[in-house]
Formats: sequence, C-alpha cells, structure tokens
Amino acid sequence: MSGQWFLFSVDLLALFGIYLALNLSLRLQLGYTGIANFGLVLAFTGGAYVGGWLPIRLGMWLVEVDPSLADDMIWNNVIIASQVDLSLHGSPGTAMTILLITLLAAGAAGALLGLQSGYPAVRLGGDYLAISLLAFGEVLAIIGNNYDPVVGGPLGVRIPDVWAWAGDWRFMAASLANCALALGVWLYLDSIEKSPMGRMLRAIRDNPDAASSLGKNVARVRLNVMVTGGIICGLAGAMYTLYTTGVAPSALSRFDWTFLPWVMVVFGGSGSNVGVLIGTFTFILVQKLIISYKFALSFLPFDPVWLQFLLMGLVLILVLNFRPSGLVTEKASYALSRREMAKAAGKESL
Amino acid sequence: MASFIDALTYSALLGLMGFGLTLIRRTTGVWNVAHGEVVTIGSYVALTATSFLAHSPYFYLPLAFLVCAGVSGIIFLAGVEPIRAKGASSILLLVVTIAISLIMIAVINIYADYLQNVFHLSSKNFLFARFDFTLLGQMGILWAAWAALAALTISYYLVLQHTRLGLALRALAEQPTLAVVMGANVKSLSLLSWCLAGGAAGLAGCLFPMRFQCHPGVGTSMIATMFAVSIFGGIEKMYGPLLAGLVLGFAQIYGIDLLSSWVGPGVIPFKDLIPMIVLLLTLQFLPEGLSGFVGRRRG
Amino acid sequence: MNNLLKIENLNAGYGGIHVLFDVNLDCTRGEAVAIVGPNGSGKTTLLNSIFRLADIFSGSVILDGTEMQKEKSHKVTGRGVGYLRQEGNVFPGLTVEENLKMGAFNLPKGEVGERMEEVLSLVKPVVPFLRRTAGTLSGGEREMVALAVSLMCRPKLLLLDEPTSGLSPIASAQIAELIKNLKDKTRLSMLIIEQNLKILFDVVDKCYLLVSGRIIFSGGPGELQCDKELMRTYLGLA
Ligand SMILES: Nc1ncnc2c1ncn2[C@@H]1O[C@H](COP(=O)(O)OP(=O)(O)OP(=O)(O)O)[C@@H](O)[C@H]1O
Ligand SMILES: [Mg+2]
Repeated sequence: MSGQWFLFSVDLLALFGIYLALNLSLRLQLGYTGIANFGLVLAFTGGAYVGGWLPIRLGMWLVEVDPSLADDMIWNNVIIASQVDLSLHGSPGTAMTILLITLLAAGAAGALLGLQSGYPAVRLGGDYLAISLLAFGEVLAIIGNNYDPVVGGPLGVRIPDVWAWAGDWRFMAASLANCALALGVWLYLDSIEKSPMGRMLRAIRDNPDAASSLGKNVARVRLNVMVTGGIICGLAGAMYTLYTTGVAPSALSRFDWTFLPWVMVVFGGSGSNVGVLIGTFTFILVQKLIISYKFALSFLPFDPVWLQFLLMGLVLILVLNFRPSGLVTEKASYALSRREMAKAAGKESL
Repeated sequence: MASFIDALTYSALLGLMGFGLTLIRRTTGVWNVAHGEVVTIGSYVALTATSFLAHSPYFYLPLAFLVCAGVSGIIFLAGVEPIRAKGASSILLLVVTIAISLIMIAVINIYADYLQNVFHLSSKNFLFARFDFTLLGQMGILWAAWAALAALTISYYLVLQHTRLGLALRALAEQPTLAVVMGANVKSLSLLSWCLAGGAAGLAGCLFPMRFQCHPGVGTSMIATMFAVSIFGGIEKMYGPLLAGLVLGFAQIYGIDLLSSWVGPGVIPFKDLIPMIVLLLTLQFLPEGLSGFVGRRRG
Repeated sequence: MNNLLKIENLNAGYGGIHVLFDVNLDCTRGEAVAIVGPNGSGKTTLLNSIFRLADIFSGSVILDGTEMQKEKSHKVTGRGVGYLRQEGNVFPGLTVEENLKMGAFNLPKGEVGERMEEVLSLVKPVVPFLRRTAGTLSGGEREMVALAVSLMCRPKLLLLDEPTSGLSPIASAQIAELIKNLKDKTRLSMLIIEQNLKILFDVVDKCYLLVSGRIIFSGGPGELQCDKELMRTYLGLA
C-alpha cells in the first residue's frame, strides 16, 4: 500500500470515528425520543472550543514553557503549541492527562449546552423544537468568530498534539482513539436498546401524550436525552480538535456538523446502529473521494466542492422519496420473546 | 440618524423574509429551511439583470418576484408535495427542505462561480447602493422595502378577511382534511402560498443589495434570524413578521449602536446574537409569539 | 338505475393497514341507511373511502353512475356529497357564519346567502351562534353547527358519522327529528353511523352491521331487531 493510500485510509478512519459518535448521538435523540436535533453543531462546537482552549493552557502548566509567552496566548499561540509539543513527544503520561482533562471538560461543556438549548425547548412540539435548535446552533459560531480570546477568532488557533508521543503512528493512534469513542457510544446505545429505558424512550417518541399519562415525565426524560446527546457531541468535538491539532470557528459549519450527520442518519436509517454505521461510512467515503479527486475536476468553471452539496441534497431527496425510514429499518423490541408471549397468551386462554 | 434609517430598512427586509416563512408554515405546516436560498436567488436575479441588461435593480423587482415565486413553487411541487402526499411527518418535511437547501446552495454557488470565471463579474460580493435614488431626503431602499412589506401584508390581510379564497386559506390552516371535504383544493392553495412566500423572499433578496453587502451565502446565513422573526412574530397572524421584523431589526442595528455607546464598540460584532436571545426569550415566555400575545390581550 | 350510491367489493384501509374487506352497500335515492357496528370496526373508514380519505385497494365506489375511486378528494363534494365527520368537523378559529360559508365552498358565490337561509331554517338551534367563534361552542352546540355545515353544499347524499355523539337525549331527539324531516321533505339520501340506534329505528330504511371490516348483516331495521343474537353480541341491545 502506498503512503498516500495509507494516509487516506487513516484519515477516513479518524473522520469515521468522529462522525459515527456524533451520528449515534443524533440517533439517540431522534431514533429513541423523536427529538429532531438540528443543532448538533452547538455541542460539537462547544467541545471543539474546549479542545482549542484548554490543552494549550494545561500544557503550559504541566511542561516547561517560557512564561512570558502567556501574555498573549493568541498571538504566541503557535510558539507555545510547538514548545509544548516538544515535551509531549517524550511523555505520553502528560499527554494522556491533558487528553483526559480536556475530554472531561468537553463532556461537561456538551452537557451544559444540551441543557441550555434543551431546557426552553423540550416542551415544544416536534418541528418547533427542531427549528429552535437549528437557530441556537448558530450561537457559538457567532461568539467564536467575533471573540478572539476563545479560540482566536475566525482564523482559529493551533493546539498541542496530545498524540505526539506516538511518533510515526500518531495519526493511527488518534484515529483508533476516535473509533474507540464511537465504539463506546455504540455499546452504550446497545445497552439502552435492550433495557426498559429503551422501550420507555420509544414510547415517548411514538406517543408523548400516552407516555405522560402513564406517569412518565416526558419533558424530564427528553432533557436527559438532550444532555446525554450533548455530552457525546462535546466529546466528539474535542476529539476532532485534538486529532486535527487546530480549531477554527469558520470550519465548524452547520453544513459539516449538523446537516451532514442528518444526511448520513436519514440515509442509513435512524432505527438501528447498523443503519447509522452504513450511512456514516458511505458518506465519509464519498466526501473524501470528492476532495481527493477535486483536482481532476479543475476544468469545470466552478469549485467542485459544490458537487458534494448537490450530491448530498439529491441523495437525501431520493431516500426520502423511496425509502423514508432509511436503508436499514427498525426492528420491534419486545420484553418477552415470541415464544414466551405465546406461552403467556396460551395460559390466559385456558 | 444613519443607524435609525438602517434599522428601519433592515426591519422591513426581515419582515419580508419572515412573511414567507410564516405563510408557508401557517398554510402547509412546513418550516422551509430553503427559504434563505430563495432570498439569495432574488439577489442574484438583481445582479444578473442589472449586469447584463442595465437599468436600476428596482426595475427588476417584478422579475425577482416572479422568478422566486416560481422557484418556491417548484420546491413545493417537486420536493415537498410528493413526500407530503405519502403522509410524512413535519420533521421529515423539514429534512426535505434541508435537502433542497443543500441543492440550492450548490446551484447558487456554481452560478456565482460561473459569473465570476466566465463573465468576470464580482459575483461573490456586491452592493448596489450607487444605483439608489433619494426621496424626501432618504434612500429609496427605505421607501421601497416598506412599500413592498406593507403592500404585501395589507393585501394579504384583505384577501384573507374578505374573499372566498382567503376563507379557504384560513380554513386550510385550521383543519386541512375538513377543508378538503368541503371542496378546497389543498394542493393548489398550498402551491399558491408557496409561490407568494417565494415572491416575497424574492423582493427582499432583490432589495437587499441596495443597502447591504451580498454574497452567495447571504440568505443561508440569515435563515436562523428569519426563523427568529417568524417564531417571535407568531404564526397565527400574518402581521406577526412585520411586528417582529421591526422589533428585531431595531434591536439588531439600533439597539447594538446604543449598547456600544454605553459598553464600548466591542459589542458590535455580536449583533447577530440578538435574534437568538429574542428567540430564546420568546420560547420561554411568549410561545404564541408577538401577534398571538396581542391577539390574546384583545380577547 | 335508481341507485345513488353503490359500493362493490370494497377493500380499503390506511397505507399498509387493511380495514375493510369486500364491503358491498347500496343506497337508493331518498333512502336512509344506517351503518352500525362495534368501535374500530371500520365504519368511519367506509365513509372516508367515499371521499378517498382512506386508500382504496380494490373494488369500486359508484356515485350516481360515475366511478369515484379515481376522483380527487376535494371534487367529491361537488358531486353532491355532504360529510359530517366524527371528529374535527368545524374550523375552531372561524366564526360559525364563516364555517357555514366554507361549507358552501363549491356552490356559486351568488347562491351562498340563499342556501344559508335555507339551512338555518332547517337547523334552527344554530341561529343564535352565528357570530360566535366555533371553537368556543360546547360539544353539543358544535355538533349542531357541523350538521348545518354539512348541509350547506346542497347534498344529494349526506354522510353522517355519529351525529348525536355528545348530545343530550333531548338534543339527540332533535337531531333524529331533523333527519326525519330532511328525509321526508327533501328526499335526501343518507348514510348514518349511529351508536344510539333506538332513536333512528323508525327513520332508517335499511341497516348494515359492520364487524371487523366485514358486513355481516344487511336488511331492514325490523329484521335486525328480530335477530336477538346479533343485537346482543354486537350492539349490546336485547
Ligand atoms: N388514519 C389511520 N391510520 C391507520 N389506521 C387507522 C386510521 N384511522 C383508523 N384506523 C384504524 O382502522 C380501524 C377502523 O377505524 P374506524 O375509525 O373506521 O372505526 P369506527 O368503526 O369508525 O370506530 P368508532 O366507532 O370508534 O368510531 C381501527 O382499527 C383504527 O385503529
Ligand atoms: Mg368512527
């Protein structure tokens, strides 16, 4: 395998992990409780900002860096980051400490953002909620783009590389870590699926009124789900930043981090993890291929990047027309197996 | 003074944009995310026509209205209606409009690239302030935007209250199935609403570059603000967007001016946060929106 | 042929859900037909399929000699069918007068006022509410208004889905009286779904008993009353 293909696959894997985690969080919210979160980008951006703000400060504190540089963290950003990088090369322990603390903080930020956007909104009906979340999704982008101290304004900042210690395997390690995050979320969803909690969530999705008449506090449960979803998005945002070792508010767009996940989930089907996985993989691959072969299309009188938008839109329309529940559809989940049910029913009729 | 006039102009444009969103949501129950791109198309109609055919952009207002009404109608017929006919939920319809919005973003950008690469027009950033006239000492755009908004709102109100068509439109918004049973053709009434909404967006888009910088993402970047206008205004009454446009427009331009004179110029870039804050407060304290609130007070 | 409505081997439902199985039904001019049956048996679906509000899988609905299954929903009322729906049968935000006008949507504009007077003379209890917003009426008042609205289109055939639901015994009797009146005076054909059969037994000419989407009995009201078994099992009347 040539080096170029190796890099291509590793980057594919990294993005795949991030998007899968994000998409599973969308599935948790949409597939289980019917919350159409069109503001995924909010918590993701929150996590990414934490990833852009915290590691460099932790790094300065944990390793030796010229303290006078701290006078202007943004101006001296690149110098500090490379100095921290230098020491992180030899100390995986410090790097992993930074990673863990950052993830904790990013998760907390995600939870907070989930709570903040969910609180006024969970009582609203389906599409109202969706639209408000879409609008709130813009808030952090506006702040990040205009308030330099967060992550350096529209151009962003560079951050220390917590994977520097892995040397040549740096990209591989980061990619695998991203996939580990996705795997964790996957297992979490799987465990919910089979629990009474999962059935309650689906009951709330299918008929909120009936669920609330059965004594379930629908608003509360929805809020919990939004907070959980926010945590996952926050973690994904931080992992993404740590992988790319940089963050720029202008790159955290509604298209990339809200609409694209929606396309993937709707395409694959929000009813199952496998569907989400298939949708995620397909679109990451397509996106990477378009970007890789961009130059082959340079004869066009426009930027080939727009073909990607065109493609996503068309695929989405086709799927919605011909297979609205996505490629993979939901299976009903029963508390008892078929046989047990038949047995119970049989006894009753005796 | 300048910012007062700016705020007044901006309010009218916001009102025009919100008008369409509210209209579509009211009569067909869909939040149209692609509405922002329809606005952008209005701006590009103005750019194309003024570049190739000369004349002032005002001259092309009817053209922008027609083109955007057509585009919006096509969005409804080709994108939304087939899926709605299968009984899709409001969320799924929202996803449909997102898909359409992605396609339109692509088309608009490709078109802008094309204009730039082939005809060397500055299509990624344009402003027509130089074409504007003055009337009674004020910029023409101020009068034009308010005239368009007022004419639309008032005539739509009159149609709603005094004609059979208006009765059917109101009936449709309340109980679609019953309206069908009584002989209302839901599809053509919905199409009419979408076209009118698109036309209003086209007017807004055509007028926008007279005062504000335009680019391929202009409508897309304002969609969140448009939703804020629509929800804050309340979807029950068609004067909602006008009221909300005024409040938000002033808050965003005049209010931030005032604030920056107290706090310092640092707050100016955050003017785009104001609609979000208003939206947040609306959802919390005034879920039926401004017009719903006014309506409730009067009984 | 004297058949105003003829339903043949109708199979209908919603999307993938099959509700009606091989239903046959006739209604001649000036006839009042009752459809009875347990909850969920498909009575409303039967009326809905005449308006294409339910999906027709096979079979035919023939109104006045024309096949209706290709007709668009909003065109049905123009062929002289009025429909009082079981639920959502008025526009709550419109005034009663506007509701009535909306009911005459398919009539020429000039005839609306005249028709409104005719209907109001038939359904007198509605007169005092004309200026009220329909959403503020009580359930019974609203049912009266809905009945008046369904008459506005000058129907030849009137579909009534539980017209007395939620009405007091006196108001129910009034409705029964009204239905009788309509039948005698205007030779209007009617399909009536009614749980409270007793008040209609002397009005209707024919009964259909629908159970689980199948017609299991059809005949005169007298015959149905004689079949004690059916009466007890499905209608709870002895
Ligand atoms: N829109 C719908 N989509 C799917 N199934 C439906 C729909 N409407 C009704 N059904 C189902 O079709 C069956 C028949 O319903 P229908 O409303 O025709 O019953 P009905 O005889 O009118 O009952 P009732 O006496 O309670 O009014 C029921 O099992 C119901 O659950
Ligand atoms: Mg019924």
